[in-house]
Amino acid sequence: MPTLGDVLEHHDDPKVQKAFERYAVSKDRSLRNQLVEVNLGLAYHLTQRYEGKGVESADLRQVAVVGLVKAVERFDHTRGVTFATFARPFIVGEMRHHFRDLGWELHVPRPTKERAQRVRRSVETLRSELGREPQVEDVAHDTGLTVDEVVDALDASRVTRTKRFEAGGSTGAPPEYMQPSSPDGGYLDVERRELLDGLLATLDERERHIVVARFVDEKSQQEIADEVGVSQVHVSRLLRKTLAQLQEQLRSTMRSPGSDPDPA
Amino acid sequence: MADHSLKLTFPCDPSVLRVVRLAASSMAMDVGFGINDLDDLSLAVDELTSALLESATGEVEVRIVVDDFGVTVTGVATDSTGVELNDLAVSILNAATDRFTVREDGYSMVKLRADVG
Repeated sequence: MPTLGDVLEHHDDPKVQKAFERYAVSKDRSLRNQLVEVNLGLAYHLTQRYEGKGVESADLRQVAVVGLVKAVERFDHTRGVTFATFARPFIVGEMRHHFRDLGWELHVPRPTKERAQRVRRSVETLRSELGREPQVEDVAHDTGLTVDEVVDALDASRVTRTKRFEAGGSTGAPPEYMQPSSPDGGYLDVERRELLDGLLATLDERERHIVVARFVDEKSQQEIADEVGVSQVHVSRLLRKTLAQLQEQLRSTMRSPGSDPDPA
Repeated sequence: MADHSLKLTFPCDPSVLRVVRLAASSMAMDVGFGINDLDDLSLAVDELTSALLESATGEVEVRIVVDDFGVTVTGVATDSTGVELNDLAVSILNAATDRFTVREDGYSMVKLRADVG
């Protein structure tokens, strides 16, 4: 793992500075990728403080690189701050998004989650289609949502407070996002627990074991991989697939006669 | 355009954070903030207001002002024991705002529109 000294050493390199200047003008994808590559040490360095909090190192690194790419794309070399200073919040923010996403099913109402996903997809699409950062109105037009709904959806997928994220650090407890909601305080009331039990019953034995191990027993993906006898990457894929399957089933359940919350 | 301002007064409860973020985002949107700038603004408001809430127990007042150039947000709690920011929060705020200050009883921050800053 690189030290902070290693990470920062090349940031005064005139070649790197020149490359940022060229990228600001050309927005050339291969140049962007070179800049990402030369700054990977920074991203990896920032993953260190978040290791041991329930997310595998490999996953954490991938997420950090996503934040690094965003930072490279948005870096303005004329602002007088170093790239490392500029990039740090993007990389850290992306990791916090990831932790939040792990607890997403338990904390955010389904319609809000769906809107947030639509909005995120729309932003990505519009960014490449328009060649600029989209405005809220662009996203509203693209998704058919109102501007207020877009702002609400953006907020729902937003990074939350530093200290809440870091709460697990000193105690060894998982971050707040990964803890189940309290029965009387969260969205997961008794009725939903019953619904969730019903959905889990539709999974095959291995899928159910992985979901329960991850989100109820709070085991790491690597621990689960060791138990099941597959790679951590495979566990990650299975989790994603199974959660998508559960989500679809939940959607069907909500649409079925007698349970539609919005009969209009 | 003329300045628009909004003053919110609320008890020290983290559940109001979302209201403050949404209010700031909605007002910033009206003066042309893009998605990235809204994201930065929201992040900064969250960090500062959270820190203020943690420093107080009584009533908190947040004022949001927008003009052609951007957004200014100030937060005050009369019984604050001092707003404290950790290193990570400072780093985030340095990147997400154009200017921010914390005082014994509150904070203020400025986020300019991208084409102005």
